[in-house]
Formats: sequence, C-alpha cells, structure tokens
Amino acid sequence: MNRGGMIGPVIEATGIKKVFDSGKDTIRVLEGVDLAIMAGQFASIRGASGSGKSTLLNILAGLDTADAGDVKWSGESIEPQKIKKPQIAAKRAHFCGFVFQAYYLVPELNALENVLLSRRITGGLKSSDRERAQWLLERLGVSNRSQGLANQLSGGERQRVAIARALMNDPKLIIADEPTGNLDEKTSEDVISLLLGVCSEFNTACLLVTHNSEYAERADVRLSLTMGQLTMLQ
Amino acid sequence: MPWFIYIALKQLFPTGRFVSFFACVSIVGITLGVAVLLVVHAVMSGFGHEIRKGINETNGDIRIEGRRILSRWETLLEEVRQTPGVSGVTPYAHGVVMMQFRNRPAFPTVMGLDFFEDPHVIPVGDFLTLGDVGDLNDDTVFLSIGLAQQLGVGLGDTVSVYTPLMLERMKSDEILLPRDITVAGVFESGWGQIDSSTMVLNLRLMQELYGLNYGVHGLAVRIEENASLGEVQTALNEITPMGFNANTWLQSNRDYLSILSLEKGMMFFLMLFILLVASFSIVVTLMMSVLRKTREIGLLISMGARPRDIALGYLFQGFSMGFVGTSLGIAIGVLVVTFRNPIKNFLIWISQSDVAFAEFYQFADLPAHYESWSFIVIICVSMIMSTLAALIPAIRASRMNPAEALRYE
Repeated sequence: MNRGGMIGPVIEATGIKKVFDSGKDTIRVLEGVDLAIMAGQFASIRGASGSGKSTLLNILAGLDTADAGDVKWSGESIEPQKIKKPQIAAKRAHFCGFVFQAYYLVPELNALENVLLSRRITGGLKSSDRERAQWLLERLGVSNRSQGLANQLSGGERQRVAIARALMNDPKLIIADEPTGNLDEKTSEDVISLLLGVCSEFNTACLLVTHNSEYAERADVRLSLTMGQLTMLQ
Repeated sequence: MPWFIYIALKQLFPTGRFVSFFACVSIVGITLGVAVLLVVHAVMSGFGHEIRKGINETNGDIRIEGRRILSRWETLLEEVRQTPGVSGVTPYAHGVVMMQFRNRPAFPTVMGLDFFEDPHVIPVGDFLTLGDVGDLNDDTVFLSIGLAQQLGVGLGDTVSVYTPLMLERMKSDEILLPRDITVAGVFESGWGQIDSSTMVLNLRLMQELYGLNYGVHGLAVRIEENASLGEVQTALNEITPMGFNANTWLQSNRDYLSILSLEKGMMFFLMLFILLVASFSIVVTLMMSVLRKTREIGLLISMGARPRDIALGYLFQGFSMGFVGTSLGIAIGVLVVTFRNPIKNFLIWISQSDVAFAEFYQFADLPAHYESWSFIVIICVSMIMSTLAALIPAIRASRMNPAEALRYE
C-alpha cells in the first residue's frame, strides 16, 4: 500500500559521500552510498562499529550534510544549496520520527508529555492530539504509565514511549538507531515486534540500524554498510 | 504556549517537584541580591530623608540673607509674607559664642529667633524634650541635647556666655562681662549637626549679644505645602534688596546634600555587584543545563526545533529565574525593612551596643524610606542581568550541531 498515493520512494539517497578530516588523517566514511526505501518498507542496516551507520542516518535525516550526493524526501531534494536549514527542520518534523538507543526522553516530562512534545514543536497542540498520544501509548502497551516521569519508566517502557513519540506526527519514515542496544533480549524482541507492527499498520517506512542479525533478517530490505559502501543482502 | 516556554518552565519547575535544585540556587542568589539591595537602599534613603528633614526643619525652606546685616527688615518681612506660596516668615540672627558652665567651656552655634513671628517656620517647640517655648525670654536659652550633655547642665542651671562683641569692645579698652543666662529647655531635632552643639535664644537677646541693635542676619521663609520652591525663590529674589539673595535650603546645603546623594549612589552601585555575582550563578546553572541536556537539545532539533527557539527557551529560563528571584527579593526586602527595628534591637541586644548606636547615628530607630524609582531600577537591573546571564548558554545551545549533540557522551 502506498501512503497518500505516493508512487516513488519515501527516501532516496544517491552518491552520498562523507569524509572526516581529523587534521593528519582523512577518513572516508561514506563513498557513494545509494539507497531507496518505499512507503511501508522496513529496511535494516548492519555494519561494524565506526562503519558510518549513524553518519548515514544523520545525512538521511538532514541533521548532517553530505560532501557529495543528494537526499530526497518524497522526491524533494534537501540539499543545503536548494533548501534552507529552518525549512529542512520544519519538513523533518513531519517527515521522519526518531528512535534512539538511549531513548532521549525529556526527564522533566511524563510519558504523555514526551509523546506530545513533537506536536508542540511542530505548531501547537490541538484537542485531538492528546487523544492520539493516549491512543499511541495504548497501542504500544504503556498507557498505564502515561503519567509516569521518564526516569520512572523501565527501559522497555521508555523505548515504547519513544516509538509513540516518533509516530505522533504521523511521519513517512522512522529512523531507529540501534533501538534495542540498551534492552534485554525479551524486551528487545517486544520492541522490534512493535516497530514492525506499527510501521506495517500505519504504512510507515522504517530504517533500522542494528547489530542484531536476527532483527535485521526480519526486515523487507536488508542492507550492510562496509568500507563506505552500502550493499543489499539476500 | 510556545513549546520552548513550555520546556523552559518544565525544566525550572519539573512535574512532581517544586523547583529544580540548580534553578533554586540561582533564584536564591538573585533573591538575596535584590533583598540586600533594597534594604540597604531603603535604610540609606531613610538616613538621607531624616537628615534632609532635619536640615529643612531647622533652616526653613528659603533664607533671605547677604553679607551684611539686614537693618530695616519689617517692610521686607511683610512683602515676603504677602508673596504667593509663602506660609510664614521669621527674622533670625546667628553666630558662634563661647559658653561656660562650672569651668567646662563650649563653643556652640547660636541661633536667635523671633518666637512671635510665625513660629512654625522653624518649629523649635516641636523639638523640645525638656522645657516649654513659653519659658523663653531675654534671660533664658534652649540648648541642644548634645551641648547640654557636654556641659552637664539641666533645666534651671545658669551658663555664662561670651560673645565676639566682647573682643570688639576690648579694642576700645572697654570690658564687657559675660552674660549669665538660664537654661529653660533642651531640644533634639534629629539632625546631628544641630543637636551636637547649638544654642537657641530669643532674637532680642541675640541682637544684644552680637551688638546688632535692631538688625538681623536674614529672614527664614516657610512655603506652602503645594508651592513650588523654585517659583517662590524667584518671586522672593525680585523683592529682596541689593546685596541679599533668597537661597533655598537645597542650595544652602548643596555640598552636604550632594555628599549624601553620592554616598547613597555609591552604596547602590556597590550593592549591584551582589546581583552581578548572582547572575553569574545563572550563567553557571544554565551552562550546566546545556551540557547535561546536550543530547536532548540534539533531539529537539531533530524533531524540528529551530535554533532561535532553543535560544529563546534558555533566555526565558534566565528571565524566569530573575522574575521569581526578584519578586521574592522584593518581598523579603520589604519584610526586613518593615521589621528593621526589632531586627536592629536584636542585633544590638546581642552586641550590647545600644548607647553607641544612638550616639553615633543620632537616631534611636533605624530610619527607612522607599523611593519608587529605586524599586523600578532594582527590578529592571535584576531582570536585565538575569536575562543577559542566560545569553551565553542560549547562544551555545542554539549553535549546537544536532548530529554531534546526539552523539554526545
């Protein structure tokens, strides 16, 4: 099913290159990465530590700029020469949601307030937003913890809240950077199952970075980042 | 409510807690700074106010005086009395005498007043702690409390008064004997300069002691409550004879009053450094917050937050800490000023220095006086300093690279 009638890829990257210059050494992290993910597709990226997975995610999310290449969100380029930073930020808020290894919930807010935060940033709360946030928490199985402060939740609960927050703006893409890195096996399994479930349910594309081969295998598209090149795994 | 204000308020006043610890430390700093500034300024203003009141009450509002003796003053006195804005006028003569009581000498300032001409111009009767105005005649005087204590005289004692006229007469081989005068009263105006060594007597006696015949040194004028000091002065200058001027009490005591004003201003300026130090605690608190929340800032940017909004959030935190601290500081300051005398009495009781305080400051009670402009200045300075203190953390937070912020360990 294609979301909003869109036929092309949700996110498309072509010829992405990134070089880090540390004074003496020049590290070529990404050397011409190409990527395309369709709506509702679940893609996984594996790679050794320091292989450039997070750098690639940051470039895809418009948080970092590539030295060469182009990234298109729903067919629209986000090259800094073509679109200004504040506009990228505004588009990003609706285009992608983030799930991080360390959850990054705001500790002063409770679970419900954390979920609503993304909506606050993108233009203020409506009366229906609270209902949607509550529904998302319920869908992710943490509605009973909606009033609990972030630091009062367990790791699994925090990650579920983070997934709810990522889904709050109804994004086209969820970028999940090692979301199970801090969780035990059972909770990790639950979180991955939930991610797969909600992405399928909402027809949201998901780009999962993981070291776990089992979770990577469950994706529709399995990719590996090695020596700055992204290759598709069978 | 904009999201950055919402987050700023949540960081200052987190759900489930009244206020964050670090914010509390900064708020306490601002509170103490504002409270100390307010208390010191109110007490300094109180001292100044009391002294100005003392000067005004013992000098009159305007004095018409010159370098020579005013011989024919009755017509001028009537003209002055008819001037719009004038509520009273009285002639006076002043100088210095030597007096002696049981081999104890003193050199007081002496003021001769006409107690029948508008006594409210210089209300000596209001200052009397012993005796009555009605007891003053050509053979009696009132002594200031300091002078009475210095000589050890009381009501009914007789003091010997030596005048400069005696020296003049000695040049022509004429010897005048000292004049024996009875003490009929003791006064305390509240102004140290007057209370330390002043003798007040009947104008006729003063004219006799100084050999003025019927002349006086000037006219003291009291103006009506709503009258303009400057306008009355201008009107009086038009009718004063050549060689005489109408000077306001502010002009006559310009140097002393400017020192008072300078002293108060310097004290205010020095106390501002307390606020400066307190605002540095806001810088430290917010810089720590930026460091602790680096990944959260990265997250907010990744969720679409604009750098400008992140900066505004931190500025709002500085403003809020300033607002709460300033409000509490004003409240505590007013409370301390209200209960200043019980507090002073407690401190004196601990240090056992009651007499020394009263003798040194000439005030039994600690005076205080509020000036509306000082409230405005204190509030503005405190709020501006607090908000500006947040500028460095705000700029640092807004310039964060989100990719690096999310990787921050």
